[in-house]
Amino acid sequence: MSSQRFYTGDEQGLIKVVTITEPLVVKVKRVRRNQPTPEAPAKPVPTVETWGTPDRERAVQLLCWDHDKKYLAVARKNGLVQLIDPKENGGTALAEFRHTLGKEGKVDTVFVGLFANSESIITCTNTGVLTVQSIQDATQRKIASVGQDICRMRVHPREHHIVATAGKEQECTLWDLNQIFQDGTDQPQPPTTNGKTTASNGKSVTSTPASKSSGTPQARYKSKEILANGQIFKAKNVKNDHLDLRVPVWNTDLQFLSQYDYSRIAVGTRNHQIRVYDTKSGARRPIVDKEIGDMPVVAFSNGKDASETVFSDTVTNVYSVDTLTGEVLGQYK
Amino acid sequence: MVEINTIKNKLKRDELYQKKKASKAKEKRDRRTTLQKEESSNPEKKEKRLAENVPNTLENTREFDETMVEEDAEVAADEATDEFAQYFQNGLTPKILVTTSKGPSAAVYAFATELIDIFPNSHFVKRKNQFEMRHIIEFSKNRDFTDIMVINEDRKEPNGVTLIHLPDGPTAHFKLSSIALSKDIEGHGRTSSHKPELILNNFNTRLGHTIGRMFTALFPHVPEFQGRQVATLHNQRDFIFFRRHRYVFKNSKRVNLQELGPRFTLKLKWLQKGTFDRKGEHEWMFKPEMETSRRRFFL
Repeated sequence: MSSQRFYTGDEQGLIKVVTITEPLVVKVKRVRRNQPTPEAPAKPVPTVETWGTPDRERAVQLLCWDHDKKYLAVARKNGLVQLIDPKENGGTALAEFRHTLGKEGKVDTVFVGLFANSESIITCTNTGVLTVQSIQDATQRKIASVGQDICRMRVHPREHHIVATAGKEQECTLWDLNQIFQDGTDQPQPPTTNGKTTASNGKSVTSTPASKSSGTPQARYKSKEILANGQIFKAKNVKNDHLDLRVPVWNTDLQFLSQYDYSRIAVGTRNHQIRVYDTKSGARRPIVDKEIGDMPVVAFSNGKDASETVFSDTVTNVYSVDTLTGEVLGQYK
Repeated sequence: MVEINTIKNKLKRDELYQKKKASKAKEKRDRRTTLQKEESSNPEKKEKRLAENVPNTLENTREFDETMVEEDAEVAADEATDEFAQYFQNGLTPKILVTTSKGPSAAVYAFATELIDIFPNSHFVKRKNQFEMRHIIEFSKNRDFTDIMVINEDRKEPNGVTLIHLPDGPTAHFKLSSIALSKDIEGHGRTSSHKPELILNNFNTRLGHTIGRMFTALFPHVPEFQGRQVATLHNQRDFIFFRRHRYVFKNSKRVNLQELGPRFTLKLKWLQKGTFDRKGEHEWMFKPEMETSRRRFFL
């Protein structure tokens, strides 16, 4: 008798735990003629447990497991980030931290990334404020700026210092948290040129940061887009389209494909394109770029392994895509 | 008895068939008269028969829907603080903007005139080529409108209505059909400027609740009973029928109705959470794949 448990958060601030238990499957005997038909097998009955009281200010924006899958991390609308022990009744928070989420002009600031491990909670807002909050020590909080108009931030499941961000006119960028915070300053250093060498055709080529080992192929960054402090990889826009117009950049979601290394990242855009980047191959343009569906990509998830990814769009379609070729493996309509 | 369909002679076959039909009808007649006699003396038998013989209709054999709302405290808490809270808690007066798609035809203008008549405090604005929907929404918000209705047309007939609640309320798009303007209704009455009463039937699921509340928020909070006008939005099998009547009580048991105003039918196509955004997320969208059975309804 297997059971599945789902944790959902809603805009009223309630977290619900839905447990669905599959009933025992009774093998149906062969029905002879003129015998009464056996009853249909019992349907699984879900049980729902609700935590919290309705309050729109505490609307859940992001909900995820921490790294050890022991606690739930919740990011709420009023800036509250909580760590909840699901075994305790009522969903009381073990640890609670308050961030300030104001309004930038007319647009509300929302959380776009949430990650927790045993030591810290990493959050990111759409204005690019990346916060690493220590769980044990509530005062220890490190803040960095990762750009403007970020739509998604994700932390690699194994290497917790590798963070990927993407957004509107923000290409997919990989950050290394150790580098951002290594000299103890809050703000990333302004981009510094290190060792400019002029190539034979007269264009200046900058060498990549020292963190890349000499064995891997070097990605080339033009002088004006040198990697800022903390950035390991910054993607480049695809080639101009058939009318020779620049393709606009609006990445809505991204996902690390492999849990072992951070080389492959899948990105979905507002123009229903799915792109896969290989951060270690030296190529800054996507290795796979496909247009799938008609409507913008809303959410991304991992498939069975690094070769498959699942995404949904705004009109309730769910697609499963092969990351090596970009083909659609299946679709829920 | 020979099977009628084996007789090759048309005249003979016809004669036997008519005889068979007549005998069947006689049997039914006799059964009904005896039943009537029995039940006139014993009314309990009639009640028992009626209670047992409830015919199955599509509505009462409707597929089980988990989203049906029945006395739910959580739903009540949700509705107390949703986008319509300003209307329901504070009694905000609705101000409606009616406009059309670009380049409308005469039938659309006629329907728009009817819509202006239905909703008190509504204004019609001609659609120009200069502005897109997102601009229109911004201008309406600046001028304190609470709702926008956009009439869409195809082949010179109105075929859709998009209802956008402002400031950031839900957007619903309906398919519009079976339009009958007042002048085409026989014996129609004249409307007056009294605020109508509102009847909403059968909006049972969570989706139905949202749509029902959207419609409620179009009409003024307090009706003028002196006007004896009532607008009805009746949902049956996901089709929403709009009717307007003037009523008069003859005595405490009998009401006479006179139909006013237009008749039309709406069917919900999709619902979006914020204001209209072509690339925004849809909370609910109708797709033909959802029609898995004849007994499945969503509102």
